Amino acid sequence: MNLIELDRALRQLRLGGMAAVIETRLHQAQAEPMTPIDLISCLVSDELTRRSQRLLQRRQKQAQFRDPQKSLDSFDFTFNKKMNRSLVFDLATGAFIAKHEDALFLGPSSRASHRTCCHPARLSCVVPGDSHLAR
Amino acid sequence: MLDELAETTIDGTRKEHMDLLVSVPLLIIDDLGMRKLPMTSAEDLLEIVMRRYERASTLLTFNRPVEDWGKLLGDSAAVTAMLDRLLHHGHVLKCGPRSWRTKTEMLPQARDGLRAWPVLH
Repeated sequence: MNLIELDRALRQLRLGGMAAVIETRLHQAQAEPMTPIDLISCLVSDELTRRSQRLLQRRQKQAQFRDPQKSLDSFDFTFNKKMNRSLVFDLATGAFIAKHEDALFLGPSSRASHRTCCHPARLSCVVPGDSHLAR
Repeated sequence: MLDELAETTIDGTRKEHMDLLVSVPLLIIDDLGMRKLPMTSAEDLLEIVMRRYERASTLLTFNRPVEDWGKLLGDSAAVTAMLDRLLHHGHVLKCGPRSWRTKTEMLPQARDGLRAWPVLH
């Protein structure tokens, strides 16, 4: 089986992650001394990485975040000084999701609440299950 | 979400839709109270909150104070029962009092104001 046939076979087996990197990994195996088990391990971990990235992307898309790229890193807490900053960061860890606790964001600042609520929601995308954003 | 739920009652898919809403690990109900809600909103919300209580997290953003919920949803008893559950293990974050939208609107005005300032020589 040559490289083209191997690529086709991997894609047929739904191993697109392996197919995308097989050439690079084979070059790597030739360039540096790599045992067969190391080469296979690299390919399997490439496939797993790609699958988890795809899963995350799919869940983020399903969650329908308004500003998916926005995060708390650039959030201006000085604008509303009375806002409980430590609570925001506590909620952003997503720990309340594991404990099945609820959260209520009250007030006129929907941008703030949206960004704050999307942070744990993004985190929940990496744990088993999905988050659901409803309006 | 509440509009969709009301529609699913008509087309007979309410159970499937409700099952999704009560089973996700984190349900975010964003901007509740921004527009007129269907007649069955209070009951539907109560059912969602009751079925998710201590099983899954619900995050709710509301631009009105808690005291107005009964009037807005039109069912004080349902709202009391819902708040009872939400606040039992709930975290309450008060966003405001100033709106972030006014901040972004203020910036260009402030910039224009600076430009219009007379230059003294």
